[in-house]
Amino acid sequence: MREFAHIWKHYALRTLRRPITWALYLGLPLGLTLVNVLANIGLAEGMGAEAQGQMVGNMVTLMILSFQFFSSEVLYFDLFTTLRGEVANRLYMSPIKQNKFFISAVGWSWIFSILQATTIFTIVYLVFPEAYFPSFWLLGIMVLIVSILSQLKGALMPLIAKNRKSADGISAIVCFGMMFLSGGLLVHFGDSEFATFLMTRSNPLALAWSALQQDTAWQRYLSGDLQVTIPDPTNFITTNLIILGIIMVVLFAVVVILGRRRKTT
Amino acid sequence: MAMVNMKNVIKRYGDFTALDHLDLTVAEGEVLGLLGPNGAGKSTCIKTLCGLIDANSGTVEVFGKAQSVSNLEIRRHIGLVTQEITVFSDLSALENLRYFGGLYGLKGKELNDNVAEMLDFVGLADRAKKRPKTFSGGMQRRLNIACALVHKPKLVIMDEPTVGIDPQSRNHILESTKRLAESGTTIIYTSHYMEEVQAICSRISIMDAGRVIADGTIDQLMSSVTHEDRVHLTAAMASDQLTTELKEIAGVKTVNVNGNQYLIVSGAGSGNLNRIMEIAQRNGGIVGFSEEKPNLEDVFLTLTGKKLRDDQA
Repeated sequence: MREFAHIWKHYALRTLRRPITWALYLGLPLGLTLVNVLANIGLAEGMGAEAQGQMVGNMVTLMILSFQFFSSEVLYFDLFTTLRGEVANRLYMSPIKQNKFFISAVGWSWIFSILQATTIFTIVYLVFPEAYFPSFWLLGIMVLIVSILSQLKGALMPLIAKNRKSADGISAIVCFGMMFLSGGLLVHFGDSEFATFLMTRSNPLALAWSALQQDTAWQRYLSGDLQVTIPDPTNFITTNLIILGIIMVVLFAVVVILGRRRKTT
Repeated sequence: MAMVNMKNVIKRYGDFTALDHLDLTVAEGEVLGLLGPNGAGKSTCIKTLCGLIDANSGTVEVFGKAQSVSNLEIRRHIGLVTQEITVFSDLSALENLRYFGGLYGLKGKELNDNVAEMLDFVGLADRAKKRPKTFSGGMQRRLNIACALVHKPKLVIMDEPTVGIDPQSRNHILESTKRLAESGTTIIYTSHYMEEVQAICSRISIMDAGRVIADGTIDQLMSSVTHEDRVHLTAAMASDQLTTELKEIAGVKTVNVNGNQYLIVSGAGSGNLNRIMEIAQRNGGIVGFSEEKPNLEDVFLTLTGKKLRDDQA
């Protein structure tokens, strides 16, 4: 534990001292979220305060979840630089198992992504108190799951991408792809069953976001703000949580298998 | 006790054999110069010694114990000065030293004392709180060395520690290395600079194609290789007569003339110097002369067919 604490402390110090950490992984997501919310408020004028509030809540939830997938790129700096080449040789020369450095990098990146989500959510919540958000416990679980998936994605990149540039490219395609398929880029796929599948269960972001959207609507219904009756989304949310859990286990297994294969070659 | 004992070591990467029945020993307190052209296997040898990779076969022992990737305990006593600068630019010199010292289990007073000692040793005490990105190349290399020594290893491997730095910093590093050697630390030093190796190392091993092809002190290595005798002569007056007489000396292979500058090349051990002087005096007089002695570069070139430094190729 002492070794983890020592390595972790220095990862944190180095990450937090880089201006790009603050700009790209906190400033930019927060700025984009606020701009997006204001734009949506403008679009939803005339729909009523509750509908606007739900729209804001859904949009912020989507942004927080999406940025979780991008936040693992904090990890790339270590996985593609300090844990490769001569720098890695120097670290691995120490009497500390190699995987402790890797675990520390992933662990710190995970903590950072949680901090990012918490900060964005807190600021938006204070700025838009009228927004409808899902249950805090469900939002917390989804952020945790999505951030773990993000770190697994981040850990997978050095095993499949040649260099950091390739990793950034693949990551961008995956993240924007998920946002697109989830309907988060203002693209509507229609009302068919396939379109519904795309926007609710085609990828981890869709799974998490659709569950949270359903919960937000349910909270509104329970508080009497909705004029229509909606079905209890518990089964839907539970199913999505199970699918996300399976994806997590599969992705973890892939990382471990590819990682062990890389180590032996 | 041999600090390092490598016997019949083979390391392959696919079809390529990086270490081919390598034998290498280093005694305690010795400063071994490990030379070799690019691709000779020095880096693979170092990585195997450090436990970063396992050999395919053979014996690799450090401090009398079998070295391997899984043996973490041996690493506590080895320091590696990497060829590239591998300090963290986001941490100050002090923080870098504390980080690397902490990786080796140092803490508390011992860590503080070692860090302070290293900063003094490499002459960076007044820059302890500055970050490496504000340092010159030479200062970064000094910090690089300090980070490898902070845990006071018994065996230090220095992989081209002075490449690309100014002469002042190089001298500082060489002086520090000498002091380190005087303290009894065993050092394996690789370099492409002959003068460094000659200044620091008590013994030299030359590697090529994955094995040691020559081993001994500098004098032993130089005497093991026969060379041509070369005399540079500046004559008071150049003349065809002088050139003809020089060419007729027994053992002379070639006489190259450039104005009044003569290069007389004879077979090794010809002992023609006196005869050359006598002829030159008779033909107008001598302004100056010098005899070219074989050096480590010549030894290296003879044994490997390659230059010690690529820029001389």
